[in-house]
Parts: sequence; structure tokens; C-alpha cells
Amino acid sequence: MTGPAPAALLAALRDDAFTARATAWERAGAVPRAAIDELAALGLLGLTVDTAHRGSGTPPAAVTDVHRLVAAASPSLHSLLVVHAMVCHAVRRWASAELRDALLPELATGRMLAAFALTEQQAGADTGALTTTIDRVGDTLRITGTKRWLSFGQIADAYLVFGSTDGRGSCALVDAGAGVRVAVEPVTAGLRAARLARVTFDGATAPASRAVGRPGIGIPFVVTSCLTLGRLYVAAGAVGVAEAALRLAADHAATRAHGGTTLGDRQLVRGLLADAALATDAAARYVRHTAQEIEDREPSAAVTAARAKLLASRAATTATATASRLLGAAGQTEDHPLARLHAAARVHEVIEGPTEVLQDIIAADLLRGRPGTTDRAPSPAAPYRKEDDHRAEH
Amino acid sequence: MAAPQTTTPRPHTPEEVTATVRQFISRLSGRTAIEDDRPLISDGVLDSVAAVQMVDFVERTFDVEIADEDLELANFDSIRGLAGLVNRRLAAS
Ligand SMILES: Cc1cc2nc3c(=O)[nH]c(=O)nc-3n(C[C@H](O)[C@H](O)[C@H](O)COP(=O)(O)OP(=O)(O)OC[C@H]3O[C@@H](n4cnc5c(N)ncnc54)[C@H](O)[C@@H]3O)c2cc1C
Repeated sequence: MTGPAPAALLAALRDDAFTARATAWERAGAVPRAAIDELAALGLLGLTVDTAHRGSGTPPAAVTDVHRLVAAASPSLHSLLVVHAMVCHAVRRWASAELRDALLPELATGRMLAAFALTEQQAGADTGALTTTIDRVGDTLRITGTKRWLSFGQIADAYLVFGSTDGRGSCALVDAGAGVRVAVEPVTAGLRAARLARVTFDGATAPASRAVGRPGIGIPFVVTSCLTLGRLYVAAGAVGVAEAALRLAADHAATRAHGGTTLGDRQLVRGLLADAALATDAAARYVRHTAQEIEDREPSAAVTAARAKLLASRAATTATATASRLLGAAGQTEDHPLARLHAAARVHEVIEGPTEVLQDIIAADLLRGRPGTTDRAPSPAAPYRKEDDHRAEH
Repeated sequence: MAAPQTTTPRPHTPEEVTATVRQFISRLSGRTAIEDDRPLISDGVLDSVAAVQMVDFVERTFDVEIADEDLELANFDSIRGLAGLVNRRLAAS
């Protein structure tokens, strides 16, 4: 069952008070849990969850509209929506029916905040290099390893941890608590308020039923399908950032008097605005197209999402750079809304697959099978190995 | 009033399933001739993005649900394996 985004939520996000609060969070360097709980009560975290599991079952295109609104005001809070939706997806798509029924309502209502724990010190874009282990001993999973830069990891109730079980890529949902040490990461320039954490799992345990997908499946399937959604949502957020920067730039150009005319009357300025507007609009349309492909479960969706993220994060880079130029000194102050948009655009080019990794995926798709090209597959996630096949156990 | 909706007939016989799977894998890999037993993923014919696309394709085309217990490499690593999985799922539904 699907429905539109909850009206009360949209009203709250469109209210100027939301932007004012977002500014306060950026200054403080933290989105507080109380604010998240308040928005979760309006349905912010249950958009992608079906109504039977207490979400609103909002279709992907309408979800991306919410992401645009949130990111335009608070790129930091937006990153929570991204990681939380990826965890909801992993549980819905790859976990057992029991886990799904038990956890989706908790996640949808925000009673359980979940972080996405993939990156390690030596394994960023390269998920083939993960060293975290998820050992299975009887009916218990034992998790050992350190994850870095986890959005909202400081206040998460659970972590979707990626690692390996007997050398095979695997994944499990692990509760915060005993055996889980949370340290605060240095504040990043973009997404300052995203509560980034370095989380060490020191023999933390979870019931075996908390495994998401089986060993050998956890990495390629779960990661790749989560990243497809993550890329769509980061792209949507980047569009929100680009639109907000473009609004600032156009408002300023239209009103700033310059030698008896306005900035916006100058041809060079008009050229900058036109380029930024076109990049932003193209990205917005591509994001909607991608959302539709994902909803229709088009086999091309994974590559389309990579394209959307590349296009939109670059649009945000272009639009924020334009705004930064046109606003002059006023746009350079730390407290100006443009500062958070500009820095967010830089982060958007790194998270959920850096620009170069996405280019690799897109080009590989383009070149696949053409004579004269090497058949090297891109590796956004660890490749399968023959040993991953463990038919014998079943 | 619109005429009653006709649904596209789904390929259901084991041979039709294999042919549809073969055609899709060929499109996804950009290769024309892939033997039914050729390892797709472990031989790098398909990457992990393609592997996920394959699951979506199978579920959508044949209206079957791939369950957690189906996610064995053997079920996805060749045209024969994938067609076999679909046929088992179709038979069970
Ligand atoms: C604000 C913020 C929030 C984050 N939140 C999370 C989170 O919630 N969960 C999580 O798991 N991680 C998170 N991360 C980590 C993020 O996913 C990684 O930073 C990202 O995957 C890149 O990894 P890395 O930083 O190790 O850089 P590297 O992998 O070392 O890459 C650095 C640069 O090298 C280049 N590069 C990398 N690979 C290639 C390639 N194959 N070809 C060509 N060039 C390449 C790119 O320019 C890339 O930007 C977050 C990061 C930030 C900054």
C-alpha cells in the first residue's frame, strides 16, 4: 500500500521555523535527538516503509521531494534520511520475515534510529577491503572491527554492519550497547551537524537472526541495492542544495545595485545563472526519472542512480560556486546559509560513491561488450568469488 | 470506457523461461553468445550492479519473489542456474 508524504510533515518542513532550527543545529554542530523524534512523529523516517509496518509507503518520486526540502535547509539532517532509508531497505528486502516484521515498525516510527556502517579506515569506496568480522558461533553473531564516519552514529540505536563471515561478505543489524564503543569524529566542513561517529565493535554480539542476507550475499547484493537507493536520495538532496543556492544567487543578482544597474543585468552574470539553472533543472528531472525507474524495478536502475548522483552532485557544485561568486563577501561568512550548501555539495561528491567511482560504473555500462574494450567489471562492491558458493551447507 | 486490460502473457514453460533469461543476460553483459553453464559472476561476465539488476529483472518478469534462502551463488551464476531457480519458484506458486 502506498500513499503520499504525510501532509503535516510537508507543512513542518516548508515552515520558515524549520530553516531557523536547521541554522541553530549547524551552529551547535549537532541535530538533537529531540528534534528528530519530533519530525519522526510526523512520519519523516517512515516514508519508505509500507503502511502495514507503520510507514507511509510513499512512492520514491514523492520521497525525493521530501529529501529536496530537507537538504535545502539542513544537509546534515538529510544524511539521516539517506542512511535510515538504506537500512530500512536492507531489512525489507534482504532480512527474514520475522526480522522485517519486528524491526520495520521500530525504524519507521523512529523508535529505533539506525546508522549505515560500511566505511573503514582502509576501506572507503573500496568495499572489497573490509576487515570487520561477523563470526557466527551457534546462534550468536560476534562482531569485531572499527567503522568510520558513520552519519548519526553518535546517537544511533542500531548499526547495519558490513563485514565478512568465514571470508565471505556479510551483513548484520547490531544494537548499540555492550561491546559497541562510540567515539565522536572530527566535525566535517559539510554536514557539520550529522553526528559523525567512529564505532568500534569489540566482540559485540547479536542473535543470528539479526543477519541480513547470507554470507557471500551480504556484500554484493545488500550493499549494491542499498547504494542504489542511497545514490538516488543523495542526488535528491543535492538537487535541494542546488535549488537553494540558485535561489540565493538569483535573489541577490536581481537586487544588488551596481553602477546604476543590477548585477543581474550584466551579461556575464546572466551566463553564470543560466548555466547553474540548467544544471539544476536537468538534475531535478533526472532524479524524478530515476525514482520512477526504481519504482518500476527497471534493471537499469542501479546505473541510472549512479548517473543521477553524479549529475546532481555536480549541479550542486556548480550552483553553490555560482552563488558563492555572486554573493561576494556576504556569502563567505561561516554563518551564511550558503556556507552549509557549498560544503554539502563537496560532501555529496564523496559519499555513496565518489564522482570517479560513479564515472567508472557509468562508463563500464556504456562500454560493456564493445569490441576492443577490456571486460573489467567495475567494483562498487566486492566481487563474488567461487568460494562464496556454499551450496554444500544446505 | 477503456477495454478490459489485457496482461502480457508471461513466459512460463521452462524453455520460455530459459530463453527470456538468456536474452536478458545477453543484454546485461553486452555479449551475444553465452553458454548456459558459463559462470556469470565468478567469471566476471556480470559485476555486482548487474547481479542486483538480475534479481529485480527475474522478480518483475516472472512475478516471483526471490527469498533469502534462494540467494545462493549457484542460483545466479549461470543462465541454467537462474532459469532453474525461476522454474522452481513458478512451480511452487
Ligand atoms: C559527512 C560524511 C558522512 C558519511 N557518512 C557515512 C555513513 O553514514 N556510513 C558510512 O559507511 N560511511 C560514511 N561516510 C564515508 C564515505 O562513504 C566515504 O568517505 C566514501 O566512501 C569515500 O571513502 P574514503 O573517504 O575512504 O575515500 P577513498 O575511498 O580513499 O577515496 C578518496 C578519493 O579517491 C578517489 N577514488 C576512490 N576510488 C576511486 C576509483 N575507483 N577510481 C578513481 N578514483 C577513485 C575519489 O576522488 C575519492 O573521493 C561519510 C563521509 C562523510 C564525509
